[in-house]
Amino acid sequence: MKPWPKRGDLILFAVLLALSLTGWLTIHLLRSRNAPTSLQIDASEQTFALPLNDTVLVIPGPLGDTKVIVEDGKVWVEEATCPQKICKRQGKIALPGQSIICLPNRIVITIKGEIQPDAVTY
Amino acid sequence: MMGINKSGEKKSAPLSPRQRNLALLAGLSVALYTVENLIPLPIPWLRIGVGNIGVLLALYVLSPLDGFFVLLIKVVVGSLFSGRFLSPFFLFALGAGIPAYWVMAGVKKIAGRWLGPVGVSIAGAVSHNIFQLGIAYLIVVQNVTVCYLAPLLVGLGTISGALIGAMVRAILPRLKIDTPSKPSKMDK
Repeated sequence: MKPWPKRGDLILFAVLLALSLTGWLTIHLLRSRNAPTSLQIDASEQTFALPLNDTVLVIPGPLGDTKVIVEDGKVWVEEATCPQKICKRQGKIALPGQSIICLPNRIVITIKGEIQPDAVTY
Repeated sequence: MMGINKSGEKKSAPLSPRQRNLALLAGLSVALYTVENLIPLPIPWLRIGVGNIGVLLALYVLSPLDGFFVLLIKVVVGSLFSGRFLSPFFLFALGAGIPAYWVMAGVKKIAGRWLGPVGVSIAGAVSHNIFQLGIAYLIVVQNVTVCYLAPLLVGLGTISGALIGAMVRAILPRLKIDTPSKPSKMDK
């Protein structure tokens, strides 16, 4: 067989690794420059936008109320009525684009930033 | 298939070299796949997919279609052994594995002059990860944030693809397999 790795193999390997690394760095740069601005809550088929001020929210859902705490720019679910409490285990979120999702209670909590992911070009 | 039906009448119809090689490589794939799944890992993407060694060998030694059969057998039988048959994991493996295999076979066909098994394997692994992310986006999350994972998945796919490709490249010259194309033409 011909010598290996072939030159094409090396080029493909290097190009893809470089692509992956630059993509990774770009995302991190965008994230660190992107300050969180507001909180978006989708619940009961409605969308609400809130400032990231310290509050305690009680969000109604099909299974009952979900208690969400906003404190020091961090958002987390304190109490939930869903059976598996996955939303609680998703922990505290603080960065734009991060979200907490509770499927049984149909709640999606997302932190919005100055740069929305929709505006990212590749 | 015909051979199995006739075996009762004709007394053990011998398998063709192609059938034997296909069975051998499919068995190899399933065994490697099953053993790899027994190793516990913190993150699922860290598996390099050693079962694909058999798929890649079949693509090189047999034919693109035979490699596809090995892939299907690997996913179906392998997930039966690991108890994941028809689970979301299985659907992911099949849904990403099938298009990624044909991307890989296409890359080998088109760019085979410049790429060895390492490059072909990288193409398969990276496209597999991208298809998997695409399925995850379409079916599970529909949230743009999953795209943040793309660079990581491309990087991991490149590394694991290169490892698999290097193993296949090392195995190929040592493979004592009667390639069906050469002997059968000589017989005739």
